[in-house]
Amino acid sequence: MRYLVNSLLVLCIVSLFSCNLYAQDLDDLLSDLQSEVATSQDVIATFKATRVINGHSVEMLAKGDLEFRIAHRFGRLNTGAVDLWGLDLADNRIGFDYGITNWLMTGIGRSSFNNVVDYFLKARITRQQTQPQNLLQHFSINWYSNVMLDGRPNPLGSWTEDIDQRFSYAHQLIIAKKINDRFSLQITPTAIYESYVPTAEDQNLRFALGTAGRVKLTNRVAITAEHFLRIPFNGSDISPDFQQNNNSFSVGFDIETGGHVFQLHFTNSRSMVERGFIQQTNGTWANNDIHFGFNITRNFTL
Amino acid sequence: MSFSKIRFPHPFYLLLLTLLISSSVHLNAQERYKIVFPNVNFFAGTPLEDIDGTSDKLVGILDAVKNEFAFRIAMNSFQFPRALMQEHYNENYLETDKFPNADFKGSIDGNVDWKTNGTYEVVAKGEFIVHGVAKFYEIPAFISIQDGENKIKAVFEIQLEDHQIKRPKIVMLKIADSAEVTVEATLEAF
Repeated sequence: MRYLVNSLLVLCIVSLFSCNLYAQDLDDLLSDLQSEVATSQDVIATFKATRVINGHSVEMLAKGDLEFRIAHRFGRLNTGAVDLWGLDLADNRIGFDYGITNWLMTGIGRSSFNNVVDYFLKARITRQQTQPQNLLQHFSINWYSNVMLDGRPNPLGSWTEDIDQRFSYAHQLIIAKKINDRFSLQITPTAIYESYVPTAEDQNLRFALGTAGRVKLTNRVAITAEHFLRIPFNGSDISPDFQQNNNSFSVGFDIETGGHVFQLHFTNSRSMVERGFIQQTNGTWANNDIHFGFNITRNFTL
Repeated sequence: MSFSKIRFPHPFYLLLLTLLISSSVHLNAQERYKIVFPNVNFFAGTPLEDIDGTSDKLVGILDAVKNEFAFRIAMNSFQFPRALMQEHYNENYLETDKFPNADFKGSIDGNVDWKTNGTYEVVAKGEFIVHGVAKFYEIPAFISIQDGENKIKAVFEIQLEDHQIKRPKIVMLKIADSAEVTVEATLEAF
């Protein structure tokens, strides 16, 4: 009798196990099959738009995409009620960006601040992968270069007489990582060359380090922040241009609706091109020299 | 001879026996098929915009003896004609970081003679999990057998609402209420 009970028990246990094994089998089998066909994918949507706020993000336009972009900065909040906290005053940049290929985009824009016309190229070097095989594949890296032409009239002569002093150039290495589906970080080592600087002590070539981040609140709304740290020349930069200006800091919201991205932000910078917001930000957050602003884009697929 | 005197085999031998039986079930392994060369397409467009995605990352097995199947697809593998569309699909609608796979497991209704050429109409019944939300589906499918080459094809509709795939009102005119899904694949014995 003991044997009978034991035998039945064993039968039960074994059959239970074999059932479980089958169910387990199926899921394992699917996972195995899936890992056979799985390929690493590019990480997408590290940021919502091609700009974080003022500076470029690691995002690119796709091949054939044309983006119309209006950027606008009101006056300073601390101008008070007389100027409706800055709303009476405005700077803008109107531009078009275009995706030449999936790894190369270009754009042209015109800013009211110093009548600057800018032209840029941004190229993708590498993209973060969903299944990284090496260190490089943990990051998305872009190269960005632009040229800015100061278009203000020359009080002493014709517009073209001082043309050699009107150009500035910015170069950036944009390194970003989407840490998870909500949180992305970016660092942006920057070099800016200005043909014209106010005094002899001011350096023509100067460096800055940009940092930026975004936290997604919902699928369509994110908080962004951006800071550009100007690197002092020779450790302690006493040149007037460096001393009179400040590091650019901005915080904002990205709101996405289909083909549009609305970016609303607060920043101490007036300009929306690299020379302007990195080297010519004379306001500070401490003094409430804060500008409310927005970027609006509309994407067209040509 | 009393009942208690009957000698039953030692449990160890019974264990061996059951293992033997279960391994003989596994001898039917050639009656299992796996998905190869899949093509999955869905269309959720409207007259205003063509929204369609295509993937070849479907995996699955079909047990012809038990009439059971299990399919799985990596949701971020769908490719779209427009990059922005693909981004919105992944980020806003299917949330593929949160819900990486869609699973369809169940049983097959209908008789298929796997050794005779022909096209067999069957119904795949089971739980379909999309966007983390399970729903029971009965999907008519065709299994065609032609000289040892077995193919499966199914066309069915998914109501986006059933799987809590939310569309903001502003894009309602561009994205349909439902997606028409077409699955085609070859079944290979393994």
